Amino acid sequence: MMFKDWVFPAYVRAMGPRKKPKKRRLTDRGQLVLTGALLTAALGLNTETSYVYQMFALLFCVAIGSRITLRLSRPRVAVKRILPKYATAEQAFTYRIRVENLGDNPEQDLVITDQPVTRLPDRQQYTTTLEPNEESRNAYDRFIGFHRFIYLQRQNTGITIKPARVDEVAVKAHRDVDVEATPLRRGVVAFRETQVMHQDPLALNFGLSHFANTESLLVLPKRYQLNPNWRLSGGRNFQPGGVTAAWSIGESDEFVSLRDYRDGDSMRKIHWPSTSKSTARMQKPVVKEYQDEFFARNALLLDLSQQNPRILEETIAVASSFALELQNADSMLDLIFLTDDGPRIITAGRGTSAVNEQLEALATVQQCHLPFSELSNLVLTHCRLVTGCIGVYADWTDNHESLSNRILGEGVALKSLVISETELPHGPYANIKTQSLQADLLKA
Amino acid sequence: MKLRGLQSLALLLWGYQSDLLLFAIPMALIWEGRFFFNRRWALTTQDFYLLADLTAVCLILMIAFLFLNRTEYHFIQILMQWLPILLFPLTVTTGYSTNDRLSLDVLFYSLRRQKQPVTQSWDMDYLMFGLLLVSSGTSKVIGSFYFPAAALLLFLSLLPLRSPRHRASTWVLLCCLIFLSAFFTHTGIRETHLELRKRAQVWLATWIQQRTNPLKTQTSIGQIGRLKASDEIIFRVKSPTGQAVPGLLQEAVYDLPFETSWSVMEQQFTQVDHTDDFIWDTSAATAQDLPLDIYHEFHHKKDLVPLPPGTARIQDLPAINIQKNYYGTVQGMDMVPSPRYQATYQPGTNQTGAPTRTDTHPAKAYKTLIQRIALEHLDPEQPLLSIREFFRDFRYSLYQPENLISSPIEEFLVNRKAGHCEFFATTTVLLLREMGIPARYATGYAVQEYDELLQMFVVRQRHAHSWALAYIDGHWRAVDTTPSIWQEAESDQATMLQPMLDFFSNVTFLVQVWWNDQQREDYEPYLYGFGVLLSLLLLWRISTSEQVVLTPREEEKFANAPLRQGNHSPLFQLERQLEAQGYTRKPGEVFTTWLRRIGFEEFLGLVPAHNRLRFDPKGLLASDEKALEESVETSLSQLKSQEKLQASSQAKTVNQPVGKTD
Repeated sequence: MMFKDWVFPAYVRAMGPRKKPKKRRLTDRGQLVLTGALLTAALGLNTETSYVYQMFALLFCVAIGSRITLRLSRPRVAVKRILPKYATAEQAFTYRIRVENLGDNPEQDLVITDQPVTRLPDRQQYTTTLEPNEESRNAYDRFIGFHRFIYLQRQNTGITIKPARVDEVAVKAHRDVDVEATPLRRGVVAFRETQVMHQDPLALNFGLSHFANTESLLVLPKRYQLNPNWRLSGGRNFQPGGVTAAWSIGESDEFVSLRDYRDGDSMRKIHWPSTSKSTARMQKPVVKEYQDEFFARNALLLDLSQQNPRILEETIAVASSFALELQNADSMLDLIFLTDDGPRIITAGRGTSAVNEQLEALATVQQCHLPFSELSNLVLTHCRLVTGCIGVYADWTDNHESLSNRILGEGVALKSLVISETELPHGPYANIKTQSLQADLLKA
Repeated sequence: MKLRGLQSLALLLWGYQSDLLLFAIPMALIWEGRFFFNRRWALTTQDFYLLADLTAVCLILMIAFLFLNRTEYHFIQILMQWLPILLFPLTVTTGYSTNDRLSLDVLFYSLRRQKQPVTQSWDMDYLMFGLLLVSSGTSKVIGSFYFPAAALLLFLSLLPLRSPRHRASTWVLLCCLIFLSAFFTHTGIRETHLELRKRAQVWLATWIQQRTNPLKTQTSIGQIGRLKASDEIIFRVKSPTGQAVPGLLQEAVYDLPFETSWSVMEQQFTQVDHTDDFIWDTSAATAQDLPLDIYHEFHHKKDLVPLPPGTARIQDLPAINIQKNYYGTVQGMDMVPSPRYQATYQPGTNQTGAPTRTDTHPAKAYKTLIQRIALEHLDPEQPLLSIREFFRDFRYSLYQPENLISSPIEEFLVNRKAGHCEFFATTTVLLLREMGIPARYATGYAVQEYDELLQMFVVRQRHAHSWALAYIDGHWRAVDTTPSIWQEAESDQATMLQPMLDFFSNVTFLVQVWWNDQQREDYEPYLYGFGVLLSLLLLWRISTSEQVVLTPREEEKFANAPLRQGNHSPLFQLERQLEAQGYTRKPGEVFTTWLRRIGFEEFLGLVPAHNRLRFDPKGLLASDEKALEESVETSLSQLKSQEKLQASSQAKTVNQPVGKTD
């Protein structure tokens, strides 16, 4: 049994949720005092040779006195969190917590910390996933693996939140406190509670008051800056399907004007209000005249079959960057990917839906275990509708090459990007390396 | 937060308590000087690494020195007392540098390699302050004011951090209560320790018989199982004249046998006269006396001194006095650790006193047995020869079986015929006495193992030995009947690690001997010269290193605020002037918008230079900055003159009659 297997339950017990919530926490000075007390307890055993035992007595009484007085003047407040709708992975953001004074005295010298739901790594994740640059840690740290556990716990939890100091809150008043947080990954981040901390008179301990405050926040994938001169070749195309948000039902082409009925016009195109007015006068029906829809429609093809979580995350991040970049008023973008539940196509642009839906979907996608041929079939069926296609892959195999050739064979402009950790041989794609991802994207 | 003044007071307390005021005063002055000195050194992380490495090397050297001389110095106490001096360069360099805190990778070598950023750092002010308070307490000064002084300093250091949530009176009351309870706590700890020690001493005195008691020795006769003695080297022996060293070093002599122990009849000790501070004559010296160097460190204030038989003079023994009893057992008084003393001895003699009636008195417990054996096996005409002949069939054994049928001595003499030196020595004494020869029981060490590397004999714990002294032809003679194989049997029990342990023991020994031979005076000129050279080098490095001159604003910056570029832009003066006139700038409002809003568009030309000063990473050229300053000054004077004009016009308006009635 490896040491990491053996030590894992101990880490889970130590770092996992407690049965009883913590009532106090040491400040930096408190830690120094407590360490000093332990040190002097060891050094001052022999009262014959030194006075260190007197320092021990002093530090011990300071620590005890600080703990006892922590019960004095507990804060009487209520808290409410005001979260934004979205956050972006690895982008620090600020949200607000409203602190309301319910007591009869002004509240001062308070610190609030928001607590997310802690998600511990499971045994398999702990033993198989390395911390970035773990090889540069010293031999002891690598052996005990505590830093790895903490890293995985932080990644799984998904957010770091800085404590925020609360300025004085007057009686029966409230104060909004800006709290800075940084999401560490995409997906849903859950908040558990808000802690309000107050200090004892010697400022060695924080007393903790817990306020249940469950909420969740959707963290969108991180995004990179793309080459500003980047354009997908391929023109506009007739879109027979129309746009779902158009006025008419069926052939939802763009309405242009009314004109007199000509032989061969469909009965469905008769504009009855105008006809009812005009037939009395001219004895002719009036029909609606339409113009066919021509606009660019692109597909963003995302391959989620990669097993390496780091490359998969970067692939999704690159896809998100393109999803945002390709949006404009005159074009549509189809995001195409496979999930274990089946294929998904999310269209955005020209009033169909907002880019948010695509980003929300990208925020929650996971690795897909379906074969690549399913994705090929889906794309080839759909690519008659599009004029351009961007493929974001995490690998380049014969299947990828075959799909590319078939897309090109359909007359669709194609740009393939392959995300990898190492440099790939030259091919019909842009190789984006994880080490220099931003630079490679700007060059692509 | 900086502990202005408190750290220096803690340094002085430490200096007073540790008797290192000569160090403490300049250290306090250097430390406090940073609050009056407006320069800081822009040191790089590499500079801190070098300094930390140097500190670590000094610390290791000091630990090694203290470890090798651990018998002379109290390891922890001296280390704790000198630790502030060792850490002072690192702390003071941090204080005079542009860094507020010391990153942990400076202190921990293992963190320097890792690619993950090191986020933790330590405030060396507080660490040093805590260390000084603890170090001050490691030495006991009579009539010390350590406790109240340390308590006062501790409370004063906590004062700036006091939580405003609580009233000042609460804080003061709490400090008073803590002081009182800490006083009673430490008094209680002291009383408890004294009481425990008293009880432990009584308990130990009752239950443990010390082997080196000059009045009584407890033997291992009757002890079952395998005896195991330590391989530790306890002393070394060398003849300075190259003569052969005596095979036995005598430590104590006893004359009164009990069942499993020996004691003495004459219990008085008398002081030995000394001609010099470190020369004691135990008997009259002769020309045939031989010197013997014994490298033995004593770990107790009162200890028995191993000496060759026939010792006439003891020299350089690290004792205030020595005393001797009737049997020639020598005891040192008020001894201190020192690696060497010399004994001058007369071969073939023994310092033990003339025979008494006790020396022929048989042991009651074994009287019949001894009589029977003497009748059966010994020849009174040739006592020594017949005793040796009797023991010829005996074996040396450290093992004693369980379930003995008779007493251990009877078992040894009749059944097993195997035992260790105490059996042989005891029975030899009893048999000699049975034949009417005065005999005593002697304990000490066998000198037998020669160390080629050190060129001296080493004596281990397991070389402890006992033998009989027989008074024959007017002299005391050592009669050692233990089979000579005993030395090999004991050495067979040595551990595999013995060569390594011996190596460390020898290194420690050589360093101690070398250190003991050194005279500080021999090194003083070199040390002073080296110190002057190092000081000059340090001064040169300090004066040529990159420095930052602190303005009051920057001092504030280093104390509290994060670095913000261009905070000194002259446009802020204009802003203050305008705000004083009532044109408040809203939070977050940029200068351009604000100046337009309040109608001072003539100042808009100053904004681009200000923005470059504030936000351009390359900053502003000195000439452009000067130009900006001049422009702002002109604008300020314009503003002030306008203000005056306005004020005077208002005054005129006020002074003018509002209307004329006629």
